[in-house]
This record gives sequence, C-alpha cells and structure tokens, in this order.
Amino acid sequence: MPSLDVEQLVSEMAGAARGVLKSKWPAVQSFAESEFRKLGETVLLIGREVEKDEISEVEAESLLDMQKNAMRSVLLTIEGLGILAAEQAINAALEVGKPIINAAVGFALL
Amino acid sequence: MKIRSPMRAQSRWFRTGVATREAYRCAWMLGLLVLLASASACKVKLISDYDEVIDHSATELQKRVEGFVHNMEGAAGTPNGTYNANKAFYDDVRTDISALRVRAMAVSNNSLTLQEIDGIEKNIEKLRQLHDMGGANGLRPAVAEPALSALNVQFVALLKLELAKKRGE
Repeated sequence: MPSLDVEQLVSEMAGAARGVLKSKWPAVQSFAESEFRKLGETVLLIGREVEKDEISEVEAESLLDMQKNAMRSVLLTIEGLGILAAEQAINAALEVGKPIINAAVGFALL
Repeated sequence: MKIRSPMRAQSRWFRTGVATREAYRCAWMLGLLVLLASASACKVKLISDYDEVIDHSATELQKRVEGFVHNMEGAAGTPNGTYNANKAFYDDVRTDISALRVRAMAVSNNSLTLQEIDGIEKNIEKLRQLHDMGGANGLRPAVAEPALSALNVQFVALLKLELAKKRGE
C-alpha cells in the first residue's frame, strides 16, 4: 500500500471544507480537523495490517467502507454546524433590527 | 361625452408600469411583515432542537458497542468469541438503532441526525459481517480496532451535532 501523509490529507480535506463553509469554518474547524486526522490514521493502520497479513484484502475493503461511512457522518455534522451558525447569524440580525423595525411600524412587531 | 365604466378604467390603470411596481412593492412589504411576524413568535430555527433522549440513547449505544467489541477482542479464537455465539448482540443493537431512528423521525428538521443514525446502522452491519467472516477466530483485534474507530467517529459526529443544538441554552 502506498504511504499516506496524514497531515497532508488533513490539510487538504480541511482546505476543501473551508472553501465551501467560508465564514462558518471557524465554528467547525477543530472538530473537522480532529476527525479527519483520526480517519487518516485508521486508514494508515488498515494498510499496515494488510502488509503484515494480519487482515485479508476482503476485510480491508469492508474496513475502508466503514471509514467512508464515518467520513460521511463527519461531513453531515459539519453541515449541521454550518446551518446552526447561519441560524445564529439570522437571529442575531433580527435581534439587532428589532428596535428599528418596531419603531418604524409603531408597535412591537418583533 | 363618453362615460367609461369604473371597471374598465381600473383594468387600464393596472396595466401601467407604475401600478405593477406599486403592486410588487405592496406584495414585498406584505411578505416582509408576514416573515417578521412569524419570526417574532419564536426565533428562526433551521434545524431541530436538542433532544435529550437521542443524546442519552446514543451515548448508551456507544458504550454497549465499545464494551462488546473489547469483549470480542478478548474472546477472539475461543468458542465464546464466534459470531454464532454472539448473534443476539447484533439483533439487540438493531432494535436500539431502530428506536433511535423512530425518535429522530418524530422531530421535524432532523434529516441530518437521521442520516447519521443510518450511517451507524450501516457500520454495525459491516461489523456483523466482519465478525461472521472471522469464523472460529471471531473478531480479531486487527479487525476490531479499525472497525471500532470508525463507529466511534460516527458516535462523536452524532453527539457533537446533538449537543450543538442546545444553542447555548
């Protein structure tokens, strides 16, 4: 199995996620990087076990599928944290706009 | 002098650009008022609320799975560690996951949590297949460790999202 640079993997995956999430990235950065690192290290471990004949290729394939499913879960959580950050921004904006809007309509609309 | 009916005059007035712009402006203002009025009833929520039952059930399930995998690592190569001797565990866990899914389905805006639960179920099935594949060796540490690592990443992901839904309350 070719060698895998976990740090490079983490950095590239984090870079891709940061590009999509933009301003929401700081809210998810530590979680995303730590989980990407764990997954990278596990993939590395699977490769080493195959080389040592500790696990078969069929077992390795199933284990890699499990890591892919785990990666999907991490990405779903990142998406959820991004939505929560957006929700927070909307509510903060509404809160700030509250007195201005209430004054404009002449009653406590918000 | 020709007298126009009020209806005809009104329809002509509506055809003018000024009237169209006016109508758009009114509709926009009305939409904004409806949006603000609904926002005033409660804060905007784009994702479901925190659910204590999901939090606790997922934590319990993680403990069960981790405890089982460690037991199987210790029993690998013995009759007690074979898949056939431990089939009941997988049936029980399937039931637990089903209960978790039903709970999550009962809450609106919860599709991400539901997808995470589906992902855990898929990996439990993979673990079952690996255990079965192990035959008399059962679940060897070389197989069990990366499998458990993936499952734990999923439990962390599920719990991280659930806890974030507390929104600082």
